[in-house]
Amino acid sequence: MKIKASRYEKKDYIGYLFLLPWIIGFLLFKFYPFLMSFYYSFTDFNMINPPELIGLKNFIKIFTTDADFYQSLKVTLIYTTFSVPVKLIFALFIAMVLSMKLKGINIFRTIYYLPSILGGSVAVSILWKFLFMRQGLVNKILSYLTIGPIDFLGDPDVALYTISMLSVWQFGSSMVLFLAALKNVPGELYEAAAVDGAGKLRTFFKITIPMITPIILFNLIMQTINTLQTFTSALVITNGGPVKSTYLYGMMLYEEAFQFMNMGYASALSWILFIIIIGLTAAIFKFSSYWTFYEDGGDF
Amino acid sequence: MSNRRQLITYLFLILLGIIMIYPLLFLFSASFKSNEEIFSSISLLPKELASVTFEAFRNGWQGVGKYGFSTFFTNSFLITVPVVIVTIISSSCVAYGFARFKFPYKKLLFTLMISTIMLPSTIIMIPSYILFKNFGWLNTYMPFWIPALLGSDAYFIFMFLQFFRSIPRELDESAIIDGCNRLKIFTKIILPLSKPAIISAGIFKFIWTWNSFVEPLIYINSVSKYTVALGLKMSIDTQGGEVMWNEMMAMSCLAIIPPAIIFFVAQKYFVEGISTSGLKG
Amino acid sequence: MKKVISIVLVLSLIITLFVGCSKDETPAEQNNAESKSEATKPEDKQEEITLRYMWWGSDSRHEATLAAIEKYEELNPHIKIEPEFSGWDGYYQKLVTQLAGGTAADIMQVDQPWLGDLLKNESTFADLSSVDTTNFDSNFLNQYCIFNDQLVGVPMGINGLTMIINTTFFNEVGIDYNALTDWESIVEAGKEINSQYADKYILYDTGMLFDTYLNQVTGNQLVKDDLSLGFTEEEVLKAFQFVDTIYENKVVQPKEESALFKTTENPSWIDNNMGMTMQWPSMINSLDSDNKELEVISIPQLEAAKASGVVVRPSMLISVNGKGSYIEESAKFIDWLVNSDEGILTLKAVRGVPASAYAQDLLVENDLLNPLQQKGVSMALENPRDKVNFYSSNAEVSAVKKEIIDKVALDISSPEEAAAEMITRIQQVVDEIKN
Repeated sequence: MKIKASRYEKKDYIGYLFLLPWIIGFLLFKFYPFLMSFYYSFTDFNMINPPELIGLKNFIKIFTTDADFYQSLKVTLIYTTFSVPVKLIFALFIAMVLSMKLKGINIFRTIYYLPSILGGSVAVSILWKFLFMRQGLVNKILSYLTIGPIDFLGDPDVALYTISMLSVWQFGSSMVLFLAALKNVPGELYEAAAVDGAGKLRTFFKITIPMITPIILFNLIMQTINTLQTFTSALVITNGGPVKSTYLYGMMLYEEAFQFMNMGYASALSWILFIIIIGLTAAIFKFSSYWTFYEDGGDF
Repeated sequence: MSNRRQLITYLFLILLGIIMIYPLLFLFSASFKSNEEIFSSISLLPKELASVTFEAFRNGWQGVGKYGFSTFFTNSFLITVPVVIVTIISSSCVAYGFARFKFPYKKLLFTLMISTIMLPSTIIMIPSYILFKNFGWLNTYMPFWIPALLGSDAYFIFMFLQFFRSIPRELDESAIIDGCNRLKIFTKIILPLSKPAIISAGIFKFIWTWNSFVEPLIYINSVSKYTVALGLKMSIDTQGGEVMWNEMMAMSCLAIIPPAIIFFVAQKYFVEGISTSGLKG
Repeated sequence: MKKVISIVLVLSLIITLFVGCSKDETPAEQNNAESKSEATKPEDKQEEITLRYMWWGSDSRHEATLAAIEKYEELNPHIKIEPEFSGWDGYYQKLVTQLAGGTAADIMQVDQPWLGDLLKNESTFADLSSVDTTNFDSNFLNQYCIFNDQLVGVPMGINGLTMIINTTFFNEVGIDYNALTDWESIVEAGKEINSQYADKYILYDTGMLFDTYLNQVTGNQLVKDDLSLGFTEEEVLKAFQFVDTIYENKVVQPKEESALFKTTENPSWIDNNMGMTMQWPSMINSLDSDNKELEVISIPQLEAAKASGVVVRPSMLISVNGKGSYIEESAKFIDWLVNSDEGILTLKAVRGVPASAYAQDLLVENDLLNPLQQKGVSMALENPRDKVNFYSSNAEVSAVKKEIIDKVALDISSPEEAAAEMITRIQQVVDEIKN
């Protein structure tokens, strides 16, 4: 399917002109904060006094004595590996259903998107507690099936998955992107498949999926980056508990920085997360070349 | 689609719809409950239907002192609308540069661009704050507008890039033969073909800016410049002050109306022209 | 469209240049220009000045404070006070960011446990010795508000740990709460109540039980001023055994359920399924509701208690930015807030029971103070423990402590394991503080 490289292969300095806003923005707003946070990670900085250089001490502490570091790393990885795939598969499935032409379907689309608008508001946290507490709605339903009661948020083995469900429940943005991508699939491909007598499943795997791989990749990467950093739900619903079972990495950063006032240490932690994210993203990109299909010939 | 299949599809949609919308109904009904009832019953109907009033909406809307939610809504729009517009323009422009040009260090620049979203914002907060302070932008909306204008949200650049890359290059080629320059290709071919992407970006940016709490909290001091998100949390004190939860719930309901309307209006662009011939039941 | 893009590009360039050279400062910043603290102006000139005042709270506190500001501006036409109020969420983060950026307000509301961190820089807060403190308990001020001979903040309210009783609950279960003066009788009564009513618990563990109990056992700070641990393994074992006992015997609601809710949001408390909770008197209004009658009694004691465990502390302080340009004017405003009749009556009790005796009496005279709140505070003042020092209320120490208590409550650790873990992990945090 690769399109031959053409006259585009010359050096094209006009490209820089289109990049100009971002380059200026980067130099103005990103470069300095990045540099500073990197510098902070080698200092003891409580934000009230100027930072003091302490060399690698922060990093040594992270890898040797800080038990929370390994705990929250573990929690975050479980959370991410659970919620990202489930969310994406769910979002794609719903997007397929919602792209049908049925009466009133636009109402459903809006309803399904509403939870994502709510974000991590106070109202959501109250609601989530009510649904999943011992006398809550979910346990009431389970009791008819003679199951339970389960402490969805109070049991250290279960709480993390309950929090993950909240993230899955807000699948709206991935769903929207899938809807947009599905729209861009040329209709004649489907017609051709119909002529060949391909069944629905086959059409889905041979045409729909390959045509939307760029957006699948985008969702996968962005959701992964985002989920590794996120902590709102854990903060407002369980506050990292019970016994650190939902102590997400982002929450540890926030606590270290703004509750314990260890900005230097928090910066060191965040640079470690940065390296992890870079590594994961690079791996996904590398791996993506095997399954992602670009209409523009795939050279970047 | 056969009638039976259609029925099954609808049943499924309705069941899932209930799960999705339940929280909003809860939110709405909580606006009519007393504080105690909000925390002790999950029922959607307030205990005393006879005493249902819109008091919570009225009182909540008035806010505290001189500034009520009419001010906060105005401010939220004042921040959000320009941010959405300039984000779409700058991100798509940068993404086009990445998608259709070959120049030295492109991979490096792309990596840099993506990496700007990889460092948690908690950590960049303090240096960014000091930066905006030196620009003299504190207590203004500049920290929201200008970075958006300069494409600081890599999420959208990458998103546009992925959409642009699924547009075949033959279209560019034929346009060049017709004598279009590169800018024309962008405005006449690439952008019109990316309507769903533009709409998605607009919706996302709108909602994220509308809901963002920490940045406005840190950069804005005057209550007269508060946004809806700040206004919602302005009256919650966990240290003993009595919180009027029903007013807060009422205002939360109102706060999601603008984004919901925008989504409802814009969604037809995602599905217009989706060919369902391959998916027909 | 083509035009738009070129315009945007040009604009972005212009803005960059403009930003690069502009030295505009917002009014807020001019106030805080770190440079010259301007020489005091002659009184006759009365130059216009703007003070920024930042606080957190809920509606009633905002309304009362705004009214006070308005009154003060009427009395002093040359002074304008810019109110910057918000809820509790994110307040501390904002304060810290502002202190780091040198842009903090002239007048700030500060929570007492933060002082340990905030005072690491001597110039964070100005000395408020010009504020008249004759109506405040000097002992109290010395303990909580004076550091390095400087008054770093004026206490806006006084809080003392008290036992808040839901009398409706006790009438229903038929137990006399006045007899519950020691932990053992509470445990016994609690067992009995729970065996009769499976969803009722006599006590609500808000996380303060452990500290109180341990202080009664040791008579010491958790971490002493010389940074040694204020407890032995044996002593802390007793406290963990107590935690184990109350959870084991359903004297308190299972942790799995109670951990989810803030004190005032717990459905069991709202529905009268809990009998008593150890709390600050300032919480009384939000713990109250139409379906119950509240009462306060003093904190239960151990038989051989070495200290009472009753913490008394300022509910919050009002401080002045040490780097601000209007320290004197800010102090005058505070003086008016806490000492003038008008200030006191306008503020009412929105920051808890006032710390000044004069203000308390004035509010009582005018029926502006909840009698239960006052009763709770005065009861606590009869028998207070020594001040909780900064090390013991340090955020990291508290986080470690909470985690280990939760492990016992959830039956993940035995009291013995918890005691051993407590010794090693608190020691770890203390070693960090030392360096």
